[in-house]
Amino acid sequence: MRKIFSATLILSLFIFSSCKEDPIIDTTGDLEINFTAEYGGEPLVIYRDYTFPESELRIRFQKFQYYLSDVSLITDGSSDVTILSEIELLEAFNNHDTDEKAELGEGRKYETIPTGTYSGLRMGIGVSNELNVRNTEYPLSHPLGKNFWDGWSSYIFAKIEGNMDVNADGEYGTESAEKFVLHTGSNTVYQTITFPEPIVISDNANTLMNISVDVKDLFTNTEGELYDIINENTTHDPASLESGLFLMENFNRAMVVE
Amino acid sequence: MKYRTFFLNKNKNTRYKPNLGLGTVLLLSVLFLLPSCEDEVTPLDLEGDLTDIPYAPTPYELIIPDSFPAMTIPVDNPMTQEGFELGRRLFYDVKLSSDNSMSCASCHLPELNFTDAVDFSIGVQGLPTPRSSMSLANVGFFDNGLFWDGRTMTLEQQALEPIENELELFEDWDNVETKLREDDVYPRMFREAFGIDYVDEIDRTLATKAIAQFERALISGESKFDKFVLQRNFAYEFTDAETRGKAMYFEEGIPGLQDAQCIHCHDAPLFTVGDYFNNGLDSYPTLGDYTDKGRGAVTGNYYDNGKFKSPSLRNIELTAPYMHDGRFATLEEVIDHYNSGGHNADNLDVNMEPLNLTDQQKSDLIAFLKTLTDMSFVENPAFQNPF
Repeated sequence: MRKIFSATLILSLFIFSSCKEDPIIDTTGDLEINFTAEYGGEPLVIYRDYTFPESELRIRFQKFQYYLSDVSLITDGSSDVTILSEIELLEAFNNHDTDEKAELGEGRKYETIPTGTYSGLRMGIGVSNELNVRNTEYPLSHPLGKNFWDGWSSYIFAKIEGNMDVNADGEYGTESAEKFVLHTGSNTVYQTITFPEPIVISDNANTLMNISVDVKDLFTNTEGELYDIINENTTHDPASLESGLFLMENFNRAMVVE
Repeated sequence: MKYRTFFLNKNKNTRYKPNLGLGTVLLLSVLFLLPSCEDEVTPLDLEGDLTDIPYAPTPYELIIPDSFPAMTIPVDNPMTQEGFELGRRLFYDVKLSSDNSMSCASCHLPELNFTDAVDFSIGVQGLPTPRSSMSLANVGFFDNGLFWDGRTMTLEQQALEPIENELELFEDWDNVETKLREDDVYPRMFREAFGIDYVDEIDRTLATKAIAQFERALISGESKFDKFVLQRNFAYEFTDAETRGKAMYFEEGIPGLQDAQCIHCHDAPLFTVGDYFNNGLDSYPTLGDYTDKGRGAVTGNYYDNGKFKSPSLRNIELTAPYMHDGRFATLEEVIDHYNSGGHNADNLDVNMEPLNLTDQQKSDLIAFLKTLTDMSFVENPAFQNPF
């Protein structure tokens, strides 16, 4: 009896072990996106003199930052997306005071993405409607822990700030008219941009992308209309949605994959 | 109860190595070969052993107003009641100074919103610090750098510096550790807070963790502004002057009221955005000429020279004098400065501009700023001197 039991036990072990399924191994890779800022095709360096489009107006930037929402890979052949990040705040440009720093850009790395060929990259410019409410769940340094403006009931999607030599005297003065403070916000001006180039994520590999925003192109729309920076130099007013929309819509042409 | 530890040189705080001879070697060999006993005795067991004291820390619940952002608590320093009380005692203890005359609280008095009333604090040596003492109210929320120039990132790191700074407490951390170990009370408190087994485990790391726990508890969020504006308690309704001041402060776009541009650097609910700005205090030929480079000295970025952290304006009526060097004695002087637009500089913040405020508007702004005073915070018994 004992021999039968032992044989049965051994046989059972053999059977069950041979029925054990092979584990499914998902392969994944990483995507690294480097974001840079330019002006007229040159690196955007803060406190450097530039010329406003189609004019002799000398300007310089002190700040350029913007939010991205729902950074996603589009699954090939469908409308499904793989969301890589719900929210990003790109603000390193504010410290790019040399060509080297500006060329370095600001990077984001997204890891363990299922391998495959994706038909493109999609992202929101600004803070998505779902997240665009005052949020107390995050600390001050988190993207959603700052830049909320109660006057708009919205995060400030993009900030473009700097000085203008309106008197053409070589000086950047302290008067309000000698500065531009272009802030955009509210769900109305939120934009979605899609880059339809295929993106391949390979097993245990890092795919690189470079995306640049040419700030000069933010000031001109597809119809060739120029932003009135002299008279609309401050857009921090709930009534300034039109100015904000002008700038935000131009992200679609100013932002490119390099 | 005094604790003594064996093999500890009290003067140099180093372990004393016994001189081994043949007999000792033989003895140790016999001991090694014998079956181990349940009651093993280590050299540090007899005195300095704290394990008879229970270690059962009680979580400390931070009372964070609903409107406030989250506070990041380090995983290796959770808030406990025992840690808070230890930190409070250390905060007020003059043992942290070289001549046992000053403590953290000497420059961070609770009745002054944890600042002092001078432009430059005076340390143990009677020498002035280079900058004004910053308030510690809500300091636990400031995760973008501490001090006026943001040179440390955590409260634990920050607390290390003043003890050894020759212009502040001018002590050596080795000496502080010795004093704490020899104290009548601290060994028990450190055991209860951090679960150490021996007195000589008391060190600067644990001391600064405790101080950080105390500081994280310093939350101020019950001012008139909080009650009326954020909590909608109409028993604290604003006066007309306070209402006008608020409208200017928050750029509410009321016709006839100037936007005062305050929120760009001092937005609610913390009344600071936690960033660094040049607000035009000084006039220099170039940014390289600033005698106090502020943030620039930390980052090494030329265009950060002259930038300083925008402090919280909560309880601001209690914290004169104002600015990183205490140059303004009154809120009126502060408003006059901002009204002027400040001195021009390459990196003068774009929101600095002449405001053209009337005298009434200046007065209204100050009336609003005074609604940020929270006496329940400065008078909270839990934050007072335990000695």
